[in-house]
Amino acid sequence: MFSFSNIRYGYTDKLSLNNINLSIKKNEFVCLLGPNGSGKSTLFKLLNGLIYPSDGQYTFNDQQINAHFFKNSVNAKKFHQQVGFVFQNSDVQLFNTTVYDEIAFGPRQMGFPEPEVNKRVIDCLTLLNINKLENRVPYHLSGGEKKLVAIASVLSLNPDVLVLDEPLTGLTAQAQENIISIMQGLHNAGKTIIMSTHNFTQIKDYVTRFIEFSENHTIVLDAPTKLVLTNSDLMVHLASM
Amino acid sequence: MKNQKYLNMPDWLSSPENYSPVKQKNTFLQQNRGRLLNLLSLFSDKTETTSQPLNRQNSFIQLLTTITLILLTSLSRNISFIWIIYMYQFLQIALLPKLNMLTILKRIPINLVFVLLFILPSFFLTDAKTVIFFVLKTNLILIIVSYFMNTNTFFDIIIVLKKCYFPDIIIFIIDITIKYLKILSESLYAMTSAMELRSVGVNRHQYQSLSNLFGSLYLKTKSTALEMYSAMEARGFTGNYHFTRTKQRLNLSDITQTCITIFLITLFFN
Repeated sequence: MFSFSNIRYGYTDKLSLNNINLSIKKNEFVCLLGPNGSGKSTLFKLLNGLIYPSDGQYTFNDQQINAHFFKNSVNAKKFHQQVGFVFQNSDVQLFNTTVYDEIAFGPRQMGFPEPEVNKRVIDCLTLLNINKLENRVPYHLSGGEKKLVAIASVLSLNPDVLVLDEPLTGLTAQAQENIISIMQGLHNAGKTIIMSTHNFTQIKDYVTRFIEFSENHTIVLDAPTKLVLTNSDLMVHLASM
Repeated sequence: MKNQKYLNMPDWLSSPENYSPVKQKNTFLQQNRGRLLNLLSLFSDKTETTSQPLNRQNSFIQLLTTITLILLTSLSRNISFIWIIYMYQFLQIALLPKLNMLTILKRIPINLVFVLLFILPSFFLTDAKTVIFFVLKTNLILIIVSYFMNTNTFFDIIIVLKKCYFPDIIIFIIDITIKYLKILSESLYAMTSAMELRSVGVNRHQYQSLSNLFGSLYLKTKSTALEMYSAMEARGFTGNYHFTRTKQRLNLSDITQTCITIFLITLFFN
């Protein structure tokens, strides 16, 4: 599905991503780990077509993703519908006047009739257990609530791939558990999930693959969960991040 | 793998989306994201430039050299002298890393066109030689300014202001304004990116969405300002702002630049 070949991003002496070789298959649940500033968020931006690699090749479904690809509005819109992105800072992702309109923004653009839009909004609100926020102004919500609304607003597009940049940060333990079960549910429903977190222990039983970034902006570990869980040293190392 | 707890996943979310977007000329968000990126680059540290030993110059010396060169260019009536400054300036640009060099060189033809447009009426009032001389001088001044802007950040300029004994409170206001502008432009960039990512079809209320975006930004601006004021008060801010001078030692590049500037001043008066 996704393929990165010799990807570099940044200036020669200040690389944010250095020689990244990675491929992610359909229906994987991938977790990115690594210290702050190691390149996880940059990879997510690149994956979503917000930035383009300085060097190397990035393909999605065998289609090369670059500025030329996004010049075609049909390509861009289809890609953004297929790949949903939840930002680390939910504040920047919410720009509508009510939570309902925020979640309905995508389906309305896709041209669904209003009853279908309403169904999608209500389903997303129910799934994330935020029905009571329906008529609230997103700006006035708490940090955790904003995060849930941001996830709902992306889910309403029904993307094939869900990319989440530290989705568990700033949430209560219960909300974190809820998000993880939703991610697992979506994964079971055939979606590809790519997320980053600092909490290995919390996520280790759900994801299918771990990728670790180092401070040198390179990938130092790329292993299936089965392998990680059988290596106690590796588990201690990842849990201490 | 842990067994998942029962989740009532809607049918539409469990099946692939069969969606075909329609072609639409809608590059407004993309264009503005590009402009915001350019704005953000103004605040970035020019690490690539400063990491080159030949270009690692003292900002204070650079400012003095820039002012001197602009003055000499404006006052000179000698075409050979103007060409010498051109040569010196291009030599300096040639020593820059590729990216910075291209940024400056790309602007030269645009600057020339603008200068020519403004000067064009003078062709009918005075002789062509004077007009060409004026165009050359104006273009040179723009190159000198462009070089300074490309090798110094706003933060370098603040340090220079401190060295010029500007009052702390003025430096404080400029410093906070620049930092605030950077934060706001970063927020606006992220918001337009988020909007673009979710703009997967035809937005019938594009201007309403944009006004919502700017409304959110305004609210964020207000709350950030209030939070910063509260944070400063909580840390005992009384209105005095002490700005620590960062010591920049003179290196070979600074000495060379100073010597060349002195040589150019001597040449001007001879």
